[in-house]
Parts: sequence; structure tokens; C-alpha cells
Amino acid sequence: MLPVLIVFLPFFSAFLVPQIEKTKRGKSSFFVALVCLLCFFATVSLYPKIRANEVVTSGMWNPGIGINLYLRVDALSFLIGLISAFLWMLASIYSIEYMGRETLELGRYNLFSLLSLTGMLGVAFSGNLLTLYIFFEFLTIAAYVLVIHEESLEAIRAGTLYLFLGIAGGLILLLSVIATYAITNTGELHLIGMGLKEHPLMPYIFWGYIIGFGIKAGLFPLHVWLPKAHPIAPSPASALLSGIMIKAGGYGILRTIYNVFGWESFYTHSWLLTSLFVISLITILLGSAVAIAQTEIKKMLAYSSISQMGYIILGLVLITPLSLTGGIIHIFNHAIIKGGLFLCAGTFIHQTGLREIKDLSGIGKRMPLVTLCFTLFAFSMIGFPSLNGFVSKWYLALGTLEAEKIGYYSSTAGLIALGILLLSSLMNLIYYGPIVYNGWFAPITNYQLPTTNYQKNVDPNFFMAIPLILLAACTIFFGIYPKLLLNLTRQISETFFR
Amino acid sequence: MHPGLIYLFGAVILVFLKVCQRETLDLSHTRKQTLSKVFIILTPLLALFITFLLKPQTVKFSRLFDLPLIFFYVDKMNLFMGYIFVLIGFLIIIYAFKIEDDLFFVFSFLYIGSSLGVLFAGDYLTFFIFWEIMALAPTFLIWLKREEESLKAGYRYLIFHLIGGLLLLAGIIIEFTYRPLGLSLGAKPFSFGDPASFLLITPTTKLSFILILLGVGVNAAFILLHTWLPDAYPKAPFTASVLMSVYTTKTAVYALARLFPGVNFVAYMGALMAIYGVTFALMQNSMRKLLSYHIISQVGYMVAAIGLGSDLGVNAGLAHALHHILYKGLLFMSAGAVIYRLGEERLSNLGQLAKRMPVTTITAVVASLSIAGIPLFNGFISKTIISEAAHHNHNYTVYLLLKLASVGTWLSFLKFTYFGFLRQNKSLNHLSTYSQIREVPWNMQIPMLVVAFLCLLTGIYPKFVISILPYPLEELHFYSGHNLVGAAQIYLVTLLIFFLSREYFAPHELFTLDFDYFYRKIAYFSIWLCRSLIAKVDTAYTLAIEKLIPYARESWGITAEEGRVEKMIKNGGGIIVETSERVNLFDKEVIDGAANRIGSSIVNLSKKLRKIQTGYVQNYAGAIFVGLLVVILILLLIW
Repeated sequence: MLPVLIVFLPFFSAFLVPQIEKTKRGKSSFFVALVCLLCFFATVSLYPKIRANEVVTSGMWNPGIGINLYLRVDALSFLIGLISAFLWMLASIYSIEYMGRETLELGRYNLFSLLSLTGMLGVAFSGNLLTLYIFFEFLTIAAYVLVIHEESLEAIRAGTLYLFLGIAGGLILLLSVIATYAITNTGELHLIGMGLKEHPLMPYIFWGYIIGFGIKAGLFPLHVWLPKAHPIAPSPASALLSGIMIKAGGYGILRTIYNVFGWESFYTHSWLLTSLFVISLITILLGSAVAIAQTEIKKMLAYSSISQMGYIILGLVLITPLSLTGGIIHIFNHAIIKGGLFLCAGTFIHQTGLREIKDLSGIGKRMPLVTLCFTLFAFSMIGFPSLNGFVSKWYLALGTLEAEKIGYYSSTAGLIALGILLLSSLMNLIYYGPIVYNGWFAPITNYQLPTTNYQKNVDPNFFMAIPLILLAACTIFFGIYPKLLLNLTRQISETFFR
Repeated sequence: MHPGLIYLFGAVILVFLKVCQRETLDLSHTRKQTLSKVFIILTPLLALFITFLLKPQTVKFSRLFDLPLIFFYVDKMNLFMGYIFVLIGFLIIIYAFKIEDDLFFVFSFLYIGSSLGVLFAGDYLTFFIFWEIMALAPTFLIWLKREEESLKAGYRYLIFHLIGGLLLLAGIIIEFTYRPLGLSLGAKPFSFGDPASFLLITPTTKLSFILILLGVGVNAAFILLHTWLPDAYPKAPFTASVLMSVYTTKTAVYALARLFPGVNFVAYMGALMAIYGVTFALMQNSMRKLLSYHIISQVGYMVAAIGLGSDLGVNAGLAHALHHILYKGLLFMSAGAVIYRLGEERLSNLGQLAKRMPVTTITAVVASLSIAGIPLFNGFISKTIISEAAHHNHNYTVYLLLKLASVGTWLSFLKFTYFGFLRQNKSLNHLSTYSQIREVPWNMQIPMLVVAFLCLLTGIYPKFVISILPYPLEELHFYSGHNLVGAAQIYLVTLLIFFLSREYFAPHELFTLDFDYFYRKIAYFSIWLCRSLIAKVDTAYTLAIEKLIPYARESWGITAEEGRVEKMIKNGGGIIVETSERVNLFDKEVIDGAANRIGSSIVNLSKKLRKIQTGYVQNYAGAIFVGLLVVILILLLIW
């Protein structure tokens, strides 16, 4: 019963938001934070069962069309749900202060934030493909309102692009889901390989899934909406979009490769994996290369997200226990790091109004705490050891060389992937480095600041600082002690590679 | 106990003290200040004592990374380097004590601690983790100068070392994969086999051999990979250059001694470095740039000795590393003293310092005699062992190149001491500030004198160092007639040449074109590629996709109601409020009652939360980081 409660608690609480907003204006943010907190702790309470290798199934509902809808939590779902609830909790604590100033349509933001949480948790906890699809579409629509929150022309344009691509992707995904049900008569996500292996339509169905989920994940030719929509949303929403919601796409691709088809079924169609492999490599390089050219911090972070999604997909398509571990850990770690980076960027914008990278020089003197957190996240993203980004880099890199043992890839492909992985690490340094050193050590250049005393310490207050500090602490903790995470990912990869 | 950990924890606690300092009132401020000052002295002292208590063959495992890592492995070789690392670390901290602020010490502790971590690492992954921290910490030390030029130099330094680190990582990963006991797919996907097999040993596959050699080579300043060194060291704060001259290259020398003893390529690379470094050094005008090129040259000696292989060669390389740490540290300290008092390091503008700064001048002369390899000074001892090793291996090419380099060294240090300290410089007499130059404060003098004393001690009693070398060294007669006469011939002739033609050696600004010119061109080109090509193409592609949308809408018949969707969702919040009112899904009373109650309790909660909020973000940060530290310590104890 618990998974249903977790998923629908935000959904039903969402409808209280307008009422609260009506009675006590501007206080609904506290309510949202409270709900997310409850969600997080409820998710955590599943941990003992998950560690005992149990699967929590609940909410069987038969709408009478011959297909069941239900929720099912295994180790992988748990991990995705956990990080979603965690980051959502922090982002909503952060929005108490951040959105407080923008009283305009605060209720709408809070309402749709909770609805998106339902969508995301539903995606993570779905037991079969149809449930997954429904929540996936729900997430797309709910998140649209977060994207256009600012209501500027640019936001509406970005939102339109997002919505059209999202719905188009959803329709293609639906085709594949229907085809899967029609051919195999099942869509249960606990199966490994649903029996599409022999079917002549298999490649088309595969690409349907990849396009549907890939649009959300920001894979290379379909990434156009991402760098427009992510930076334009309010910063906590950007953190959620970039940290969590694109992972819905990554998670979907994982389920596609490992559950819907099963990794052994690609022996006859290995070109499917190989082309996805090439796409992921292009995504890594393209995201980093374009990020170097950006002048606005949130845009840069969005392009960096594209590149990092490439890492995750690379980990999934290499089909080895180690690379799968790397991919899943990177879903988790990237959520922490990128969430943290967007919250830092949001704090810069909220406290000083500076969006351009060149204006941020000398920010370390004015906001030492936030700049310290930003530095930690940036170096974690580059992959410096003892920070959590390194753990994912390490396992992904080990996976690239392991790949030839399964037989889908030659050892040269593995080496190329390794090279690109490490090159991207260098590119990360090239665009994060100047922000860090100019932030700490360069003189303050921008005098057109809203606050009169520009040397004043303008570190944010409690509600904005706590999420940043917690995320920074997580970055260090999971970098030095990744065992907690590795236990879970080992459990996951053991279910797929028995 | 790991001495590196003491430094690392010292850095963390120092950060914590600094965080606390910011929020305290003025009264207790001074007390906290002294607390951190005492702490800055105590940390290196503690590490010093602990290192001298270490016994070889200590092994400690850690499961922190979920792998059976050999976090702490002591044998005679790394203990030998460990002694000098902690000793010189302590002295440099005293040297910088009065000049630098806490932030400097945080990063220098990180730097020293991580280089000790590299020394005592027992497997590749631990080695790599500390190696990367060791690349990052000095970058911050360079940045601490806060000048445009040093910020960029630090950035280049970091990029160079990240490239080195990535090469190393690639090599290590290949090693982990293809080692027979490496990762295996199957029953236990994460098993790393017998941990004992992961002691640092020579890489097995050809590719990993090359990659690891290059990765280490970046830190060892192999020619073509060396440009970061003369680029960054002169642009760092002078205290930081002293530190950096000691650790980065010498850990690389240690790594070469561990991993690649007796590799021919290494031997010839060393000889090339010795010649190349000295050639460029002779052309320099800036003191620290000259010294930086001499690091390349002197590290070349060590690299060559290690490349010659055999116990004798490795011994020679390590002994030279120890001696070099002493005299090069001393040279940088003297140069730093001059910069501290004069704010000037161009040799053409210096001179006649012997009266004004006698201690600095004496130490500079001692160090110059040591680096040149004059008998009675320690450079002579290790250079003799290196020559012996070259003889022993019948590698006369290396032998001759090194001899040639030592002539160049002697010449350039004649230039350094004569033009920098001893000569009469008439143009200086007119400067009013010149008469006010005083000797540096005691905290800088004492370390300089101690190191100068050590240079002489290890030169006169070579047994001191030889007895702790990793391999037994057969009886060498350093002060035999043959050696002395050979040295005297070379040095006296060179001295004569220098004084006859010293006008020719007079320092002047000379633009020297090193390889970094090409590297910068490549970097500019790649960034241009990203900015002007890839990003533009991406933007165009996005626009093209965006252009498609109106057509799609038209074909779906939405055009007539353009903007309706947007408008609807724009008002989404309002719509839901209205519908919830109109439709009366639930009893209005219940809903309103619940909402009111939730609303008011949330207001109360937020009031309470505001009370917790003290406004001092640093307090929360401090509390959380201390909590994190406690958790990690507990986990460390459990595992």
C-alpha cells in the first residue's frame, strides 16, 4: 500500500494548494515542502525491504480494458524514487525563499511542482509499461507549467517547443507500448525480455522507445528543447528538470534495454545498440562543446546536463555490470551535482541578479558559502576523486573496457568510449574552471548591482542555504563512502546479469 | 597512523576554524586567531614525529571505495622520501608562517598531505586519488596570488595536470581490466581478487604502460610535457613556489622509481631534460623562471638515474631527489626572501645584496654550490652516485650528457649568485629604497639556515643519507683523489670562462619560445571550434526544429486559436481554484476547514522555523560538515 500512498500523496495534496494560497497567501510553499518531506521519508522507509531483496507491489487496479495498472518497487525503482523525493524535498525547501519574492502565481508553481512529483514517482514505481506511459505523459504535461512559469515570451516559446516535442515523443512511445502489448500480451517490467526478440518489427519498436524516452533524456538529435526549457524555468524547477526529470528518460531507456527487450536479445540486432552507443558518444561531446560557448550560467549548466545524460546512456548501452553500475550511480550522482549547481546558480541570480558568467567574477567574496558549494559541485562534475562524480566516472570507465567481453563491442570501441569519457572530463574543466577561479580570486568587476554595498556578504538565508549545504555534504559523503550506493546498484545489476 | 591524513585532517579543521572565526565578536577574535596559528605549527610537527616513528612493512587496508584498497603501505623506498617530505614541509610552513593567511595553509596542508598520500599508496586507485588532489591543491596556491596572469597560469596548470591525471586514469583502468586477477564478469562482478596483487608494480600491457608513463611524465616534466612548470611556478606567490618546487616533481620521481626503473626511454628522457632545462635556464632573467628551468634539469638527473635501472641507479635517483629538495627548496626560499624585501626578481635589476641581506646571500651561495655539485656540498655526492650508476650500466651517452648539463648548471648558478647577490650594481645606489632593505624576519631566516646546514651536513657526511636509502649501497669513496681532481678541472675552467666573459652572461630580458606557444594555439583553435562552429550549428538546428512547430500547428488546425493553449495553462492555477470551488468535489466545509487548519499550522511552523534561523549560514555549514566528518570517522572505524 505504501507505494500508492507515496505516489498519490503529492497528487491529492496538490489540490489543497490553491485553498491554502487563498486563505494564507504565500504560505503554500511550506505545505509543499512538508509534503515532499513526508514523501522522502516514506520512500526511505522502504529501504529495509528493498535491501532484503523484496519487491513491494501495490495498487492493482483493473480499469476493465484487459490491462492492469499497478505499482511495483524494486531496487532500481527505489533508487530513482529516493533521489527524486530527496531532490524534490530540497528544491521545495529552497523555493520557500526563492519563490517567496515572486508572489505572482506562486500557487500555480507549487501545485504543478507537486503534480510533477507524482508523475516522477509514478514513473519510477510503475509496475508495467502502461502505468509507466501514463505517468510519463503526466510528468511531461505537469512540468510544462513549471517551464513557462516566468510567462515571458521566451519562456512561452521554450515551453511550446518542449510541449510539442514531448507530446510527439509521447505518441511515438505510445505506439511502441501498444505494439509491445499486442505482440507479447504483456508489459510487466519485472520480466527480462518480453519476447520481442524474434519479431520482425523489433527494431522499429526499439527506436520508438528510444525516441520517446530520448526526447525527455535530451539525446543528441532530440535535445533541442532542453537548453531552452531548463534555463528559463525558475531555478528550483531547473534543478528538478535537469536533476530529476530528464532521468525519467534515462530510466525509461534502461527499462527498455534491460526489461522490455533484455540485453541478450540484441545479439541478432547488435547495430541497434551500436548506433545508440554512437549517439551517446556524440551527445557527450556535443553537450560539452556547446557548453564551452555559453555565456549565461544556466544555459551552460543545461548543455552540461545533455553531456551528462550521454554518460548515463553510455553506461546503459555498454551492457556490462560495471557500466550499468556506472550509469545508475551517475543518475543518482548527477541529480545531486546538477541539482546543486542549478540551486547555486539560482542563488546567484536571486541574491545579485547576475546571470552572465563574466559578471560572476569576485562572487566568492560576496557569497563565500554558495561559491564554496559551487566549487565542490563543479569539481565533482569534472570528476575529481573523493567527490561523488569520480565514482560514476570510475565505474563507467571500467565498463567501457569490460564491454568487449559481452561481445557487442570490439575492444577498439571500448577504448574510444574511454577516450571520449576522459576528454569530456577535460572539457568540463574548461568551462567550469573560469567560473571557479574568477569567482574566488578575481576582483569584483560588476558595479551595477542592485544592492548599494556591493562588498557586503549576501549569502542566502536558512531556506536557501540548507539545501545547498546538504547537497554539498552528499557530494563529499558519496564520494568518500559510496558503499551505500554500490550495495544497491550491485543488487540491481545482479537482477539483470544473473 | 598515516602522516598524510594528519595534514588532510589539519586542512579540514583549519577550514572549520576559519569558518568559526568569521562569526565571532572582536574580543574572542584574537584568541581564535592564535588558536589557528598554533594549529598551523602543530600539524606539520605532529606529522614529522609520526613519520620518524614509522616502521617499514606497515600495511593498512581500507574499504572506503568498496574495494580492498591498500591505503597505507610503507617500505624503505617511500619512507626515504617521506622523511624529507615531512621535514621540508615543516620548515616551509615556518618560512611562510608570518607572511601568508590561513587559506594558504589550508591548501598547502592539502598539498603536502596528498603528496604523502601518493607516497604511501599501496595500489593504483589510492595512488590516483591522492595524485588528483595533489594536482588541485597547488592550483589554488597559484590562484591565491589573485592576479590576472596567475589566475590564467593556474588554470593552465590545472588543465595540464588534469590531462596527465586522465592519461594516468586511462592506464590504471586498462591495468585493472586486463590484469589476470582483475575484474571478472560472472559470479562476483565486483571482486578484485587477491589484494596483494595490487601493490604498485610495473604496468603489464603495452598501452597502459605508455599511458601511465605519460601520466607520471606530466608531473615529472618530461620534455614536451614540461611547459606548465616554468609557466606556473614564477607566477605563484613566492611561498607557494617553494612548496611546489618540492612536492609535485619529486612524487613523480618516486612514482618512476616504483613503476619504471630501468626503462631506456626514461634514461634518455632524463638526459634530455637535464640538457634542455639548463639551456633554457641560462637564457632567463627572472630568478624563479631560472630556478624553474633548473627543476626540469635536476629532475632530469633523477629520471636518468632511475632509467639506468639497477639498485644503484634507483638509489642514485632517490638520493639526488632528497638532496635536490634541500637545495632547490633553499634556492626558492632565498629568491622568495629577495622578492619579499625588494618586490623584484629580475636579475638585471638586482645585485649587492651581501651587505643588506647577509643570511639570504649566504644561503643562496650554499644552495648554488650544492646544485652545481661542488665537493663538500650534497649535490656532489648524489651526482657522483649517478655517474657511478651510468658507468656501471655502461651508458656513456647519458653519462656525458649529464656531465655537460652540470657544466651548464655551474654556469647558470654563477650567473644567479653573481648577478643576483654579489655584484656591484651602480644603478641601484640611486634608489632611495635600496638603503632601507633589511634582512628577512627570523621565521624565514631559521628554516633557510637549517636547510643550508643540512645541505652541508649531507655533503660532508654522506653516510647520513646513504644509510636510509632503500637498497644497500656498496662502499663509494666520494672524496677520492680521482673524483676531486675531475670536479676541480671542470669547475675551475668554467669559473674562469664565466669571469672572463661575464658581460656575455649579463642578464637581460629575452623572449624564449617554449613549446607552450603551440599548445596555446591548439587550445585557442579548439575553443574557436566550439564557439564558432559547433555552437552555431547547434543553434541553427534548434531554430530549424522550432520553425517546424507553426507548420505542425497549422496542419493540426490549431492556428485559428493561436495562443489559446498557452493562455489556458497560464491561468491554470486560477482555473483549478475555480473548478475546485464550482464543482464542489468534496464538502466545501471539509475542504475549507482542512485548508484553513493546514494553512494556520504551516504559518505557526514557519514562525518556529524562523526562530531556529540565526542568520549565520556559516553555523549551519559548520554543523553539517562536522556531522559529516563524524559520520565518516565512524564509518572509517567500522570498516
